[in-house]
Amino acid sequence: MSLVRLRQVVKRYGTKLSVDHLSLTIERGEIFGLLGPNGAGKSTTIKMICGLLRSDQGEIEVDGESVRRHPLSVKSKIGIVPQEIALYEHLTAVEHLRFFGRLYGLRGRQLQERIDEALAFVGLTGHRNDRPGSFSGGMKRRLNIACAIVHQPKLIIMDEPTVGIDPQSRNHILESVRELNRRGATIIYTSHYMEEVEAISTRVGIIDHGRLIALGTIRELLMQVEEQEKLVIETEGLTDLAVEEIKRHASVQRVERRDGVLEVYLRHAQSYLQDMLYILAKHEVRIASLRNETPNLETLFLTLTGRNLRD
Amino acid sequence: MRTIGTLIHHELRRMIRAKETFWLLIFMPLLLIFILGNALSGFFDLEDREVDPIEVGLVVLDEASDDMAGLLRTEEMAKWLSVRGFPDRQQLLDALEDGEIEYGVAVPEHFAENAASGSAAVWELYPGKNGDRNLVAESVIGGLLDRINFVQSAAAALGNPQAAEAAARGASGAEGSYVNVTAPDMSGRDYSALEYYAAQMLVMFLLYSGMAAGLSIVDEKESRTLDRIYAAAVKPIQVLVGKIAGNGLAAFGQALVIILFTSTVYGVDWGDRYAHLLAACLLTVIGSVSLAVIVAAFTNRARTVQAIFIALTMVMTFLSGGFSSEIGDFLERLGTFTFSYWASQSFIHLILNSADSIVQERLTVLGLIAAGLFLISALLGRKAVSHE
Repeated sequence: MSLVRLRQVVKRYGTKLSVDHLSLTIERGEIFGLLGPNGAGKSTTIKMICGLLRSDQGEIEVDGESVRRHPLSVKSKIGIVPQEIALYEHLTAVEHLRFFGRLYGLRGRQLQERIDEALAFVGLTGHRNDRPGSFSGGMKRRLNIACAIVHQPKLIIMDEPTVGIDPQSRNHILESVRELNRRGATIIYTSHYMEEVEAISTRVGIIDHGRLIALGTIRELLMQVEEQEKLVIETEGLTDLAVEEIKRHASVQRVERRDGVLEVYLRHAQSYLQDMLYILAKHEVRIASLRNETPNLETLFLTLTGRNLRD
Repeated sequence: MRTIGTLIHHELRRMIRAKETFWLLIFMPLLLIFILGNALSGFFDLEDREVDPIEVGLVVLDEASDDMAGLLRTEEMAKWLSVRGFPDRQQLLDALEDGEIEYGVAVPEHFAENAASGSAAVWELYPGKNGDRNLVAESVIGGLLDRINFVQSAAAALGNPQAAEAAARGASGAEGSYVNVTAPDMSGRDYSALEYYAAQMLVMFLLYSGMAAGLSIVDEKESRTLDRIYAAAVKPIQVLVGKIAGNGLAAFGQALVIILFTSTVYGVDWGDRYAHLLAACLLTVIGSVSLAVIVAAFTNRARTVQAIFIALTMVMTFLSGGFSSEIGDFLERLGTFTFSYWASQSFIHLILNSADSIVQERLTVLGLIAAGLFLISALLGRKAVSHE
């Protein structure tokens, strides 16, 4: 059963079309990765789901309720971790959670219990009375998350939650996302770090210029680019004849040559690796190094748009 | 209501914890009142210095006293007094209230006759709003009247015993002067420099407190915490009310501290009409916070809010006489179009212990301006706290 449903959603900023007739369904219990380069429309889409922005056209429903008609009810079911660290310098960690918990209607013992749980979840119990000014970037990010989960929402939206933090904090956050999902929350996770999205998402949507250009499980998406497996061979004494013979091989899609480095795009690279090595040896080309690059979401995005995700 | 309560509490905590709050909102006004009140007290004291002729209104209600009153228009007096005639006492009082004249003199009906018969006969003197100018006028007119009293008394002494007795008293400079000093409301007093600047600085810093509401809104936009608040089940009107009420309460607390401190330490007499004082504070706070919301509606940058508000506050304070009581007729007239003028006038007339009608008139104008600003801020409020 779907938790979030977008139908033909449009958002314009002046004459610029930020979200272009976007339709999307997110199921309960998913970790849905929303990928796209900067300015693709990810944040705008998220803000519309949260009721922070009004769509110009289309309909958005969360848990069966229209965001436009029941914004307050919808908001109470969502926890958003914004891209920016949105914290108050004058409040301690526990005061942040108390403030936001109260805004979500929590009071008394229930509020206190949720605060304790949220602090423990992000590993900040020992810093409950410290202010963000004394926190590292990773700790601030974790408090940023705690503020969004203190009311235990059904849907947690994380908008680029790992920007600018150390690997240790990143791992902690990714593990937190999995744990929140295990506890029953549906997660929408946006990032332009495709390796993060690949690591945690059960399903991925790729968005560009406000349009959904790919949607499916990681496996389904990568099948679209399976032919784009790549052998990168660093050579000495590479000859034109050797390159031509490799190009003629039945499994090879494309060959690129940069000085002594040969990039061979082919299907099932493992199966034809011996063939490639044989051809090079026959032409007395020596191999300095060799690696097999399998396609990923970055490859898919490049194929679909002609651009890199981080552009 | 709980959400608004949470937002008000949040706002108050933000202000209390801000390092600059104590210095800017409490310490600075008290320091400025002390410095200005003492450094510029020369303008409020009688000292041997050049004084511009004082605008004196004169109404002569006794034809027989025309010649005597004419002594105020002599060349010798022109160095000190610039006398302007009025047909009746009411018009003279109106002109005094409006600041058209600085001092009033009325020669009452039957003055000459009463004086000649030895009955009670007095000139009525009406001090204006400026303490030092009042003292100069009283000194000059008093000197003249001492002479008149003496001559009058001596002449009377030739007529009957009572008048002779009066003449003796007049010559000795003791009790029984023909001159009676009174304020327009018959109960007034002058203000000291400290009292004057206490009123002016209170208004100026209440305006600064209002600015905190605007800054708070824009700060939340800049730090994206406003988005976070709206992501919770909070309506824009609740955010607006929370900001206004939180900062309004803080400003109110500030007013209370300034009034209590200046009253107990500096000896400022704010009067005993607490309801009026409360109303003046309340209306000033409403006006200033509303003004801040209006400014915040047109910018998303904290520095811009700060710059606009400081400029507005400075200009309004200057035009309303907040830095110097003598700024020239044109600027003074311009000042009457400012919020600060009516706020400071309300406080000053409370200090002056002016009649209820006078204070209420100032409070009414102040209330109308505050209501106008509040209405505009209500219309623009959604834009001010918009996060899109």
